[in-house]
Amino acid sequence: MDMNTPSTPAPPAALRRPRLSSGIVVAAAGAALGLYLVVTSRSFPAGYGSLPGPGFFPFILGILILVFSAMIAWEARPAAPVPAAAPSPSAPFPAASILLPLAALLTIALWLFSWAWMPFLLRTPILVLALMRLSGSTWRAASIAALLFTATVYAIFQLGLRVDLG
Amino acid sequence: MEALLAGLESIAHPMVLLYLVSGLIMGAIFGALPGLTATMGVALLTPITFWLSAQEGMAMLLGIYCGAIPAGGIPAILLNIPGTPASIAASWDGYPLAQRGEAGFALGVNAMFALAGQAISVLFLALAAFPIASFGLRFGPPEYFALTLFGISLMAGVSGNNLARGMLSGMIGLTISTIGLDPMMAVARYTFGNPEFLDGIAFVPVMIGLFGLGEVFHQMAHPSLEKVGTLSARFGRIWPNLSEWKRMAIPGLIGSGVGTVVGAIPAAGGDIAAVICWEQTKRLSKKPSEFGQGSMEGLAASTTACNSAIGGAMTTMLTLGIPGDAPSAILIGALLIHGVQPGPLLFRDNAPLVYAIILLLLLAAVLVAILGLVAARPLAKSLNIPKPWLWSAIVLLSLVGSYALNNSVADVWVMAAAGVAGFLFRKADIPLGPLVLGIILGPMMESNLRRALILSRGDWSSILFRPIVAFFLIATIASLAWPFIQRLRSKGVQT
Repeated sequence: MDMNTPSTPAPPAALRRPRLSSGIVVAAAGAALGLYLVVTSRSFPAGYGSLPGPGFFPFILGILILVFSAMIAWEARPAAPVPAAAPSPSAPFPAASILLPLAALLTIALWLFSWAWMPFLLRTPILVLALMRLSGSTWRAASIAALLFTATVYAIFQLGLRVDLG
Repeated sequence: MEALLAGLESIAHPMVLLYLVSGLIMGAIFGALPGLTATMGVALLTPITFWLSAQEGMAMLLGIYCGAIPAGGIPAILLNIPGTPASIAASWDGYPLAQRGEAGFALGVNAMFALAGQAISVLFLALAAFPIASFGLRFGPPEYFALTLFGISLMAGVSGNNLARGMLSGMIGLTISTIGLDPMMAVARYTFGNPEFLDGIAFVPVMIGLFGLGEVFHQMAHPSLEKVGTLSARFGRIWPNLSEWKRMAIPGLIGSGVGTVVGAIPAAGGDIAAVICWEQTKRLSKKPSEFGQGSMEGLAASTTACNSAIGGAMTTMLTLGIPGDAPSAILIGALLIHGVQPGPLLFRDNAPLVYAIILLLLLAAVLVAILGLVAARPLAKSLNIPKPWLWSAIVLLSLVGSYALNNSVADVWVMAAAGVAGFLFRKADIPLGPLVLGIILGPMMESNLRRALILSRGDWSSILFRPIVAFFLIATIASLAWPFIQRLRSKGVQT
């Protein structure tokens, strides 16, 4: 039996809720950035004489970003109702695949927040241990990596290059 | 001649050579391990060069750059996994050769044609750099603005089917470059009240984030990204015979020429050079059907092209201050750390350093061939390092490296933000090359445009009708129009 085959039949295409393509998401984010640049560039002091002011360049960039965002939105428009297409640049973002990077990012953020009150030699093994465990390593491998990497980095940067790692 | 001797003297130092060799070994490891790239290696190890002299630092970084590109061919040949994007085309013929029991021969071709590609392109750099730089000395602000505009427009050409996404990426790079004090009137822009950003966003942490942390996040999201082939048990002979040398000589020369020219184009690196060259050589070959089935001409052409892109990229970077590819963009950052500004003035004010870089590149090319022949088997074994170990090591090196540059936690946050941006860009299929180009060229473009407007008292016509400016503007229009012309032509062929 093919394990990838769903046990219940898929709903008809007409009943499926339309999902945002990555092209539309990129275009929307680009348009927001472009609009932000256009609006905020007006708040900078005006230039004098022939000298354009500090807002001149961001204003032009904002306009160009709006143009390219519109082009991306145009390219991402649904040409025909083709449901369940193969993954492509304009396919939706798969939500499940970002869990591991998100967890790693959270671990890194915690490492940074703990900078002021936890010494490097304590917070770094915890970081490496967490990253290794999140990536599916055994406790043994994670512990060895945590000690090995922390010691190596400490030896190179703190002892060798005299960088104060805290 | 004096400058050449001074350059030679500055690198004929045991420590410089030690850093070059250690850079080559680290580069070979970065290149051979799929997922780690030359760009990542150069970015992650740039902070360490802060404590070295300019010559020692450049020796290490050039070693990584020159060592990683040919080493990327090792997993491409043995396992059908390109170690770096530049070695994609090497897998098309290298892997079939290895499967036929000629892995040693393919690795030998990879090493020897890497030497040929790098050496020929560095000779081009040595011959062309000084004339280009002296021509560049004639450039004023209008010419520099037109040149940077042309550089930005080339993003369109190298973005492939993602023209709009490539251009958007470049514009975002230019926007990032506006953060900090305005270059003419010293007005703070987009700093959000944070004094750490008054000097602008630190370039090296951004690069570490984009190419180090961003790549790790990307791989975490796609754990089975690479399809692993089967390692051939037989290595066989290494050296080609005389008739094989003759068959590969012309493809090698084509690869050197195409690679050097493509490498010199901003944002186009060895990956594009290798693919273009492989296709052109196939078109010219008497046996095109062998391409993709284990053709030695195909392997020689693609290997020489991706390696000769190094010399091309370094030519544009050193003479005009415009990076040819992502690693050379980071090398600009590394040179700036040592107070060295690439561009035409570098050739006038610091010619010994230019010669030192050229000589280091030549030496690296020779050592790369030796390393490729001797260390191919141990490097192939290093492919067994589990991904979690690599990811953790890269994350830790990214965090500590970005902090060590200025002892600034803000730089680490910038690096983390750039890592997230790098991950999202990859996920949305937005190329990173134009972003890097935008960040590098932004300040040059804005300040030269505004200077040109001051000098011309706001008269655009006196800027646009200067001969060099007009040339670059026509080239810019052609470069922007070219993808649309290609699309129209392909539509015409289909109908």
